[in-house]
Amino acid sequence: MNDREKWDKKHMKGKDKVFEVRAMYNDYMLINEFLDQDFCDKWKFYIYGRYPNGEHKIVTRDYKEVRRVLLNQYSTGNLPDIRLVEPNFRGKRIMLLEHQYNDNPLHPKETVDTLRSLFSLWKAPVAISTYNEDEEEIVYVATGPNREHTTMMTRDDFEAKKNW
Amino acid sequence: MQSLMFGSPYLSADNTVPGVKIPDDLMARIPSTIQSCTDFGLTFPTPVVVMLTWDEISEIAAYGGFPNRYPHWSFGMEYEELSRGYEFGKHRIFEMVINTSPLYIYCLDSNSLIDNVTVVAHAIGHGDYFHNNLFFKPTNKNAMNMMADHGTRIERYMERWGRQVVGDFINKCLSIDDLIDPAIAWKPRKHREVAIFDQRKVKHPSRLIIDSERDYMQDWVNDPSWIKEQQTNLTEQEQRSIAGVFEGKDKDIFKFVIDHAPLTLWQRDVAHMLYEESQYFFPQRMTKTCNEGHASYVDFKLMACEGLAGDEGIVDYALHKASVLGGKYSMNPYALGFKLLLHIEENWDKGRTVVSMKNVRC
Repeated sequence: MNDREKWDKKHMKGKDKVFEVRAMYNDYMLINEFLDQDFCDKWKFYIYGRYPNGEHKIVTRDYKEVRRVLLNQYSTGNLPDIRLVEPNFRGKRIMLLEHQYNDNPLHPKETVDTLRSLFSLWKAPVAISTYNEDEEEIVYVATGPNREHTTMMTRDDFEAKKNW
Repeated sequence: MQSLMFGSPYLSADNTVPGVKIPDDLMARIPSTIQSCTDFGLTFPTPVVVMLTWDEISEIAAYGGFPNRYPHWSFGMEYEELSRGYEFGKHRIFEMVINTSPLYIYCLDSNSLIDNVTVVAHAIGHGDYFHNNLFFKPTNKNAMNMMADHGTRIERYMERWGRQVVGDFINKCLSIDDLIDPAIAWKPRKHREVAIFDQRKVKHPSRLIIDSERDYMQDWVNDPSWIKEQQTNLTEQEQRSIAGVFEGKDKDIFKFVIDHAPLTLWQRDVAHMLYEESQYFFPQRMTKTCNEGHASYVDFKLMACEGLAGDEGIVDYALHKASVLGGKYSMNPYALGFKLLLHIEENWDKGRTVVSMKNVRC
């Protein structure tokens, strides 16, 4: 046994700390602060992957990588972070949204459906800029309540679009 | 507290209200369970224990824990999934608890005795979390009434404007109800006062002061073109603030749509109700792991460490715990929260904090 495992000061402040955590923390803060290498080693909390021969094996044991993957999920409650940047784009009441990209692209089908219902509430074109898997900036545009009215284009095409 | 505790006024085997009679052996153990929770240091609103059959608990779970909500097809869909899942033995809902005061605890009548005692302790752990956590402070603790009120109002709109029309509008609102800013709940609510006098403060462009004998330097130090530029900026800023021009990135898209989209009065009212409900449910999504971890920690401490399960119940309890915290190839948020809290407890018991452990060799 090494020094680290034998370390015991008998402070007995555990329950107080847990009660403090329940009063002030949410998921993001909890994982950001308390997930460390000791925890990952103790519970074998590593990143596992499925190899081509069908076996589940450990990909990495580094707690920073585990923490990064978890925090990406937890930062906005497992939802994409979407901001409104301009409600009156080009002076034509076009609502322009922006996805804060963190390695996870939006699902195309659900994005289109959400834009359609946002169109029928806003009653003017709605657009969202995001990134695809190749890290290229793309824009989904809804100019009507039906699925035929939604298109996907690059950012440059969107800026150059004239016929709204 | 005693009269409210068992929810007994409603539970006299009446078919019109949900719930069945609590069995005597469980009834005898509830007061001691609640007492040991209080002794453990938990603070929570008065608990009301309600025992439901499996189809009733599926129904209430589909409604998000509230028996009275507005009518919508998505609740029916959820009910179908939950009840079929129970029928075919895929999963079961052991308990349910909602963030209200008094604290409603729903138990399932087909649980064993020790499961239901665990459920009460676990649910009080949740109640303690709801009561004390920072992120639940701004939520409405009278949510049972709020939901029933919203249900009544939406049904009235349905009578007036048609079930299909209002239902379609609700569909559209529900598809964007995640696009809200939870931090808005902490901001104090303001209402715009009627201005009788013009109370705007006159802003002047800034200029540097120079001595009176060096007056000839005036145009060089305070350049007229610079002063004029500042003046136009100030005027523009004032005009923007009067006109209410949108500035900066905003996370609260749903609220912006409610305020600025061309909606009719009933549409705005319905959308605002859905916005309020969405804001009520948002902290639960933000604190899922922490919340379940704390509740699991509480029931583990009470049942196993403080000995509430007893000698004969400890095996049943361990079985229950293993099924809840299981999962081999996927990440279980319950297990992650529970184990993180145990890890924190161990570290702080043994003094393994960052400062003292920095120089210890591995």
